[in-house]
Amino acid sequence: MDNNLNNSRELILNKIRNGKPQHVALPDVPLYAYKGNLIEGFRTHLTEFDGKFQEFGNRSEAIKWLQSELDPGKKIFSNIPDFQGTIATDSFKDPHLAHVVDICVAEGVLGVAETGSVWVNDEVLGVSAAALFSTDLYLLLDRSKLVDGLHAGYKSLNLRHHQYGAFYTGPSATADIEAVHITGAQGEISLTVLLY
Amino acid sequence: MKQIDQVANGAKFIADTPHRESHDKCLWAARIRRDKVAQQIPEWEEMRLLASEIKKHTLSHLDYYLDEFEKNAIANGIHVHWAKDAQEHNELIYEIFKSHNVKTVTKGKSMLMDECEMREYMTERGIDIFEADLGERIQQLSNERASHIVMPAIHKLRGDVSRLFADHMNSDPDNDDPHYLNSVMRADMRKNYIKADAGMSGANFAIAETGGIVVCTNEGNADISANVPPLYVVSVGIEKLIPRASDVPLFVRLLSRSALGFHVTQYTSHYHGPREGQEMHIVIVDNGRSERLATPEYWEVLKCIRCSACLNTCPVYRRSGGLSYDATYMGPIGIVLEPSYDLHLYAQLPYSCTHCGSCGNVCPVQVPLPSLIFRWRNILVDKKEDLLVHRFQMDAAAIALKNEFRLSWAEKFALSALKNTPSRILNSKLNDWAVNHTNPVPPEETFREFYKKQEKQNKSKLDQ
Ligand code: SF4
Repeated sequence: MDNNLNNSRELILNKIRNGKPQHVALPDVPLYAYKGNLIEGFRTHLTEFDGKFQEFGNRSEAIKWLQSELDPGKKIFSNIPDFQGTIATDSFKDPHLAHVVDICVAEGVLGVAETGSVWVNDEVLGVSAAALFSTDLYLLLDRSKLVDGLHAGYKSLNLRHHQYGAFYTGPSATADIEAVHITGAQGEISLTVLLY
Repeated sequence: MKQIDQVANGAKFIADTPHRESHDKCLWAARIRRDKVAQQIPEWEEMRLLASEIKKHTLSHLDYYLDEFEKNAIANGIHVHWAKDAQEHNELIYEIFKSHNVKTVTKGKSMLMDECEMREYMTERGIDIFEADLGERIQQLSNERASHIVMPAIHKLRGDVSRLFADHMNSDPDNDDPHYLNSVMRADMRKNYIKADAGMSGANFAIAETGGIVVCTNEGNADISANVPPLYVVSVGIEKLIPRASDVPLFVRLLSRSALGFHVTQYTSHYHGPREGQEMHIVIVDNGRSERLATPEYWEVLKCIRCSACLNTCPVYRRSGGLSYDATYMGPIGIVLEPSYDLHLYAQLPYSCTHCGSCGNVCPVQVPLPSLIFRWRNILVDKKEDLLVHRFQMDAAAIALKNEFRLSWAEKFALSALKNTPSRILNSKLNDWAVNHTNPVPPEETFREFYKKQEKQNKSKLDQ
């Protein structure tokens, strides 16, 4: 950093020090909970956001479903150990190349009943760009990883552990033209959560 | 010297019935949805108060939190820069781009970058900035400012967009289906993402405790811009700080519900460093904010989280459209922010308000918008920046309101004027009020006369 920039840092901080208002106390934030049934709430809110919901008795059923549903003729990027994609996971050293991905499969870290959101990060996605460039995104989610609300969700996360971490809630969407709601904007066009 | 005449600009939009009606309808729908989802949350009002207190606390220790944020961000591997104003912000980012030989940039929405006119600055220097948010892209192609904070092109109709896209992206000019137009945008942006040398975005929140940022969007464009190119540059206003990770859910729960009436945004994304092989830069920007912080009775404007709820609810904004403010910020938050950038240029904005108070009621962080509007009017009168006609009205009102006798006289005078002035004059251009209204049928007596009579009658009843 050159001197000039350092000067601006000091200039700004000094102005703040000399002008800031009097101390105001910092309140604690309660863990406001979502009161409904976890799975029911999750399903309702996810589908409100145009996400698709599939429920399975156990993980291997979910994997079987993927095997029967996904078209092996498509470019599939899978970052879970028990389902093979059609693209090697080390194909995208340069994430620009991930634009070819049709389908992306990854494990969700946790789900939120209040909003139907699934937390993902750079680790579970493998290549984040693959999920974002995909047409169809499939996220597996262990039902024991459901929490009631966003407060509980953040409490169980350590944000600093991952370079990229995000709540994905349904597929990308836009309402920028006459507020007409359109599912599938620039990220994935469909998002399916496989709860097991 | 030039002044922005929001009333005259707005009148043009109002005259355009199809645009005005669609605009009003879309925004009111967002307001209704906001009410519905807010009512589903029993702790809603408590959350607004908490959010306000947390913001106030952070602002009262902003030097500490900025320092903590910087320390933690650097530890996360992020390059942190400080810009005192828009010019320094632009120069600094240009230097980063130049040293990385950047030619093509895809960019998520950022009001701060709009405020700094960053895109124009880069474009003049040969760097292609592609606005990646659909609404923002529409505005870029139209050479217009954003007309709304979260729906930048909401003043436009689908036909406007189909013509614009046909001109710039060779799409079908006769197909104005928003789904089709969205797919045109998607295909066009893919070409840009694939060659992007850098990505940019603003941030909704910067967490001091963890040294990372939160970006809330719907389309996925900001996440692609952050996750694909080898360089990611973020601009953050000093007021975006929040202390702790545990504060994030409070603000996230308020933001999208207030903005559009949805529980959350499709992408609520957190960046705590560059990915392998990437460089991440955060520019912390003042550009007038520290002065606002040092201004008693005004600093609370810095609590604003740019949700747009105050725009959606404002009767003036909904009917006159965001472009009528000819400013980066519009609606209630615009009329209290813009005079602090340029008092003379934006001196008329604080008068674009009906005093309905709705903005103050919906604001998720309790920015006292109505009293901030009054505050500007006082300053404008003191500095003689107000319009003569406003001063005349105020002076007359001041004389009339001085004591009860004068007021009751003024009421009688006004009533007799309403009764006796020929309607030709009453409904003419001399009376601004009558431009879009007819005058009411005058009552027989003033309210005061009516009330006194009633009181007398009641008394005599009681006496019986
Ligand atoms: S002033 Fe309040 S309502 Fe208006 S944009 Fe800011 S946070 Fe939202």
